[in-house]
Order: sequence, then C-alpha cells, then structure tokens
Amino acid sequence: MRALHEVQHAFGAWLLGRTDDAPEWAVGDGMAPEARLRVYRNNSRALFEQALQLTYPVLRRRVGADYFQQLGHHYRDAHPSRSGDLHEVGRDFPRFLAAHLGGTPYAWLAELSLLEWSVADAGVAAESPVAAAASLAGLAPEQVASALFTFVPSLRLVRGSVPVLSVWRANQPDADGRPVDLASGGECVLVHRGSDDVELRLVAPLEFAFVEATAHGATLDAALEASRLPLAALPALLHRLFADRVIAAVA
Amino acid sequence: MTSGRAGGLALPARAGIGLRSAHFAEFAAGRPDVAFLEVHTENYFHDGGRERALLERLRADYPVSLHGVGLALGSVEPLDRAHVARVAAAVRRFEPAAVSEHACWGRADGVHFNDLLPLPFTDEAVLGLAARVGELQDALGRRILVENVSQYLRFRHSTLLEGEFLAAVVAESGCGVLLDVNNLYVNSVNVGFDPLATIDAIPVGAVGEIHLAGHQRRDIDGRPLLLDDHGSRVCEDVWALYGRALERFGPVATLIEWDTNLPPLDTLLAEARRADAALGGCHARAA
Repeated sequence: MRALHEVQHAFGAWLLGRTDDAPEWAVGDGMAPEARLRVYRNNSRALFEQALQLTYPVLRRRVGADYFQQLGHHYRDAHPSRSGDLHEVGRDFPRFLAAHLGGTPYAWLAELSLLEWSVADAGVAAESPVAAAASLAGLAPEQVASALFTFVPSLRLVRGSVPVLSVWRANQPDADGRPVDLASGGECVLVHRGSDDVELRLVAPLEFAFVEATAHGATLDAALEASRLPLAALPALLHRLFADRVIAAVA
Repeated sequence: MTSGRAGGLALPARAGIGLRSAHFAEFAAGRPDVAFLEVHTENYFHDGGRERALLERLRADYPVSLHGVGLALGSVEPLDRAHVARVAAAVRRFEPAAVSEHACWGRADGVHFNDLLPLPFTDEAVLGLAARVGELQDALGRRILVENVSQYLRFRHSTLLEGEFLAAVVAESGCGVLLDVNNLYVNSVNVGFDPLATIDAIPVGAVGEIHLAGHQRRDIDGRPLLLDDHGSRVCEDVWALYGRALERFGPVATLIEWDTNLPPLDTLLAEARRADAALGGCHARAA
C-alpha cells in the first residue's frame, strides 16, 4: 500500500483510534512506528479538546475537567471535525449533548452548551449597521402593525428550561461558581455582539416569544398575537432592543 | 482600497512576531516595536469580531503576514472551496505582505484532523500538493509561501529528500518557501533529515519568510523526540542553523513563533531583537 490516498486513509484511521496495527509504510528509526503515530493521535485529540474547551469553558467548569474530557471523546467519535476552522469544532456539541444526555438529570447541560455556542458564534458573526428607534417612529401609524424587523447577524436566541444565564454568570472566570438552584425556573436569553464584546440579555418568556416570532419574519402585529405579549409591554421591549442595538432595520 | 496599509508587497527583511490574544491589550494601547505581525488566517477570516477589528487597525501600522493552518493542501481530497473563499476574503480585507500555508495534509475520508500531518516525499505527493497550491494561488491571485512541517515519523516509500521535495513543489507551482528552521532541526533529531542538505536544495530567492520557534524534548523508547510546540525560546542549535540559512538565502523576514505557554510580550520582543541582530549582520555582509 503506497498510493497517497491509501496512506492518508490508513493514517486517518490511526488518528481516530480505529486501528493499532503496525503500519508498514512508517519507519520506526529506533522506536516502534506505533509510538510515533501515537504522538500524532494524541496531538489530534488534544487539538480537538482544546478547541472544545475554548468554546465551552463554563460547561467544563460546571461538570469538571474529567467528565468534560469524556464527553469530548464521545463527541469526537460521533462528530469528528469536518472543517479546517477550529471554531467549527464545537458547532454540533449542543445537539450531541441533547441526544447523549436526553432523559438524564443532566439533560439541561445541552441548554447551557447552546448558550455557550451562541456566545462563541455571535463573537465572529458579521458586522451590521443598526437601526435607530426613530426608524420605527418614522413609520405612518397604519404601517406600524405590519412593520418587519431585521435583526443584527450576531443575534442568537436561547430558551432555557433552567436558569442557564444564572449558571453561565456564576461560572465566569471572576465568579465564585456557587451552585444555582436549577428548579428556580427557566431563563430566556438574547445573545448578540455589542460594540466591544458579546452581550447577554435576560428577557421575559413573552418578550422572547415576540422577538423569536419577528426574527422568523412575522410582522409586529402577528408577533404580538403569536407571543401573547401584552401591547402595553411592547414600548419598553422595543426601547431595550433599540438601545441594545440588536435591530438592524425596520421596514 | 490600499490606503492605510503599512509596508509594501513583501515583508521587510527584519523580525516580526505572531499576534496572539494574550497581547491584544498591549497592541491596542500602543505600537510595540516590531517589524511585522503574523496571524493565523483562520482566527481572522470570520465575518466579524474583536480579532478582525483589531487587525483592521493594526495593519495601518504593521505589515501583516497571513499564515494559514487549515487548508491541508497535501490532502488527496479536493480543496474546501468555502474555506478558500474565506481566505481570499481575508486577503482582500487585510492586504497582507505575505500569505502562507503548509506542505502537509490533514483531511481524509471527510474528516479534518486539524493538524499539520507529514507527506511522503514522492512524486505523487509533489504533484498533488503543487496542484492545490496552484489552485489556491489562482483563487487568491497571488503567490503563496509553503512551509516545511515538523515530522515525528518518516515514510518508507519516500523517494526524495526533504529539500528536493520542497524544491520540486516550488518548481511545479511557482510558490515560495516559508522556511521553518526549528522544523528543520526537529526533523534532524526525530527522523534524521540533514538540515543543511535541505537548506542547500531550496533555490536561493524562493524563501520569502523564516520561522523560528521553540520545541519540547520527550524520550520515547530511549530515543529523543522533539515536539514542535512553539512554547519556549529558540534553542542555540536552531539559532546556529538560522545563521546558516541566512548565509544561503540572505536577509529574509523572520518570525518568532510562540503559541503555547505564551510569555510576556517583552520576551517575544527580545527574541525578535536577537533575530534582528543576525539579520543586521547579514545585511552588513551583503552591503
């Protein structure tokens, strides 16, 4: 076996731990060829794990380094990297955790991981101009009900059945990591990149539903109906969304 | 748009350092004295973000080298077109003085190993790598530099020496070489390649940039294995080899590459000054 595609296929199988057979194409030069290949196997694993750690520091702190590493191994087996961009390594982790931990007391960790992925992904999302509140005020009264919102590309919506934002905040590097009562209720979070860094905003469930509906293309009127957000609560929510600079355009 | 860009079409023949997030605050606050900055392309090729915004500002004051680590050009699988498009967008945005990638593979059967894996030195590997380098150069509309990688094993069926392999890729694709002198040294210990023979086989004029870095020693089965971890100072043997490279290639832009166990910025700048001193001697001899 000497064709390049065969060597790369066999080398890849070694890296993924799918074989430990001595490769006839590798020279040992005084040590077992397998020992040399294990250096590459360990490097490849370590690079994958480091990428996951960079994206999911809160989850790692919450579950501990050992369990996080175990989860990382299972995840890599199921979802090996497909991209030369290490940012992409963690993209499927929330989905993997939802399947892997579903039905267990740890299922909520998938929600926490989705919040962390949203933070990481918002951090590299495209730049965008933002709309001023005046753009809504400038619409004729009869146009307001049919107004459509476009949000900035970095906006991510995370609905937690547990207090995911409280857990996230309690496990920041400068926080003490104190336990959060998971039975204290779900939290809905808007994530976006502000002028300097990624910002996380806690919103009420009905507010979240309104933003979710508008983000999916509903008019203001339709979003109010779908979300059941009281009309009286709308001005304050819109004021915050404009102030947070998450609305890119109003039409 | 070309206004606001520092430097010209080539990197200055002085020492630069890698821009790493641990040193962002120092670069945001001032302009440390260094001749150029190198970044990993994939950390800066997204559509937005803090890194991209900082580099947009810094490129007004420093020539930039975009150093790719993710294209795995020697893989048999076709190039990742979306990845190439992002690299091309980064090249348009940052107008770098140099663009580089590696003489390695990294993808097989749809899986990316995110590592710089060694190629056998065969005619087949030369042609495959050169074809993908050519594709990338066409997409970018410019010549790239290709870096020699560190090796922890060699292939039984290699028919070329390391330097012959690199020279053949240069001849086939028209690319230049990013000569990593630490990798030459690591490979001499790990797999017995002759670093001076490699230097002598690369055409003078092909080398557009040099990398210097530290490595870590392990012992396996009673034999030393040097791990190319970019986590310490450049060792004296590598400095000596660097001198030999400068003798052959003349003064070439030189990067102090440090990625793990990052020291204070001053340590990197001190290493860069040492490289500058060697380059200064080289300039003096050339005058």
